Amino acid sequence: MAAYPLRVTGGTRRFGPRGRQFTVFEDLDLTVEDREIFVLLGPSGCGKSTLLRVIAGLDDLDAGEVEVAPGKHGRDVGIVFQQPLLLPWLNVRDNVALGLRYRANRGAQEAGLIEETMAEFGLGDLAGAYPDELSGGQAQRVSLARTVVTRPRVILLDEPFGALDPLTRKTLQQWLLGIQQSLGLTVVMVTHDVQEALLLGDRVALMSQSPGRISRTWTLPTGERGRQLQLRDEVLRAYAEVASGAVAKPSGRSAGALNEVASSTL
Amino acid sequence: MTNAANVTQAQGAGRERLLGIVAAVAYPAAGVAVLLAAWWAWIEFFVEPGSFLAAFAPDKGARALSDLLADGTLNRHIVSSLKRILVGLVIAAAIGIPFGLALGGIQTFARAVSPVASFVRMVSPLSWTPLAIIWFGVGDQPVYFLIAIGAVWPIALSTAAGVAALDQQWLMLGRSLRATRLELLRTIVWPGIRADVLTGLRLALTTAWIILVPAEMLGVDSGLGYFILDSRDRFAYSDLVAAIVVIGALGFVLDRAAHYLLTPRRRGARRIPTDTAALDPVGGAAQGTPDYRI
Repeated sequence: MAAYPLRVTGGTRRFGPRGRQFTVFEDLDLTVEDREIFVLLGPSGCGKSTLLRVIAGLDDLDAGEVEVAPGKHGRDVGIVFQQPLLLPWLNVRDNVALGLRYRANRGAQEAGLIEETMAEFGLGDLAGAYPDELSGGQAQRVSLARTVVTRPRVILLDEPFGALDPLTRKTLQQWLLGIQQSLGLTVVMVTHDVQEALLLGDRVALMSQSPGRISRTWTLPTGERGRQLQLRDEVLRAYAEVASGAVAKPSGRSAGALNEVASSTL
Repeated sequence: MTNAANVTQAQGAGRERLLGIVAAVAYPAAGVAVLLAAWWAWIEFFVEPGSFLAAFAPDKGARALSDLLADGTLNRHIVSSLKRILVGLVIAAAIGIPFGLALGGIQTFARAVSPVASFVRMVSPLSWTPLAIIWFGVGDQPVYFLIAIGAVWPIALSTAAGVAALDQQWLMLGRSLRATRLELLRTIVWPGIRADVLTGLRLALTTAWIILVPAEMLGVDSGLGYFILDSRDRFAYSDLVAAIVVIGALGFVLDRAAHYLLTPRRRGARRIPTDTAALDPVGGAAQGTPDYRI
């Protein structure tokens, strides 16, 4: 019996031809609890997006297992990408409804579900609009609604606000918190932004690179501002260690990554 | 003072619009008039009266045309020509669209088929005439075959170009929403390439119309191509002129109609595909994007 909505055990993924293989992540374990926002934090290239794609069923593990608690219908994982990927020939309503046209999601279909979800996501007035008439934030909300409307057990977010301007990002982060609370969603989110991780996560897992592994996990207290600030320093230090772990390797890229983290958070 | 300026400006805009209308009608009309005048002058001044060529005069052609239309002789031929175009195009689309999907979507298929396709494409469709007649006998069928084998390429190549240019991430999105291959094809691939397919159909119509007339000169007893040979055999050269005018005019109307009907009015197109892009896609597809597994 799967007690958790999502569990990865001994997950290993390698790329490249036999003999010259590159290990993205190895022997990786993680458990996601019901109705939490689980944030996977890590520097670029640590394999967190690959892990998310594996969980979404878009890629396969070389070893290990992904267990998803069976929802009402099959493997119940929905993913939202960094780009909204709206289909330009469909209006907002039809984009939201796209997944419900597929047989695998028939079980999620209910009268009024689309309209309800659109209202929930503040898209009611935009139903007839086409993607090229939307702002970046609106488009990403449509993209989220399109995933949520299929009622997946777990929702995966792959740096969903990464392509947005800072103000829109802030607004959408707050809004995501609200919607996650009100709909009781279980969310796994990938980001390289420490501040975003601390703002949104109930738990934050730091992923180290080459090979990727969960190096530390923090459970974030809610509502204690001082404690959160303290935790931020701790997470930042750990992040810097993980990021500089690659400096020892001749990639020479992580110093820049470190600066980027420092400037984006301080 | 500003009022006066506004009035002049308004007048200027009005005059500009008027000039635009005049230009839109007058220039094409002038082109037609010059052609007719040159045609008439050639017959009048350089062709001996009473010779065979004198029967090709524009006024005689016009009279023949109105007679032929009035007594309904041409109607039968026009109808059977249009029917052949339609059937030929339907066959070409039925073969060309799936072929183009495979060509654009499956890299190994494109690699294997490209040389053969380029080879066959470069053979004039009319070269197949004897074979078509041996194969299908006389009648409509060889004409369908010749039209289809010429019209299949613009459709297949435009489709392939559309598939190759399709955003791969859309397909990933579809898979993440657990679409089956058929559902991907129906909801993402097809709407994504619709504009390209329509462009291909338009190009195919032009090709088909050009093939039609010579294809009808063999083994059929109706159609505009047949009518041209028949007029020659009857020494009715002014009828022949009338037939050429009808062929040109119908082709013009069909092309315009196709342009109007087959250009997506809203959305549907993620970009306006250019005819040149549509014409070169075998190479484009071959070097294209990774297999997306329809």
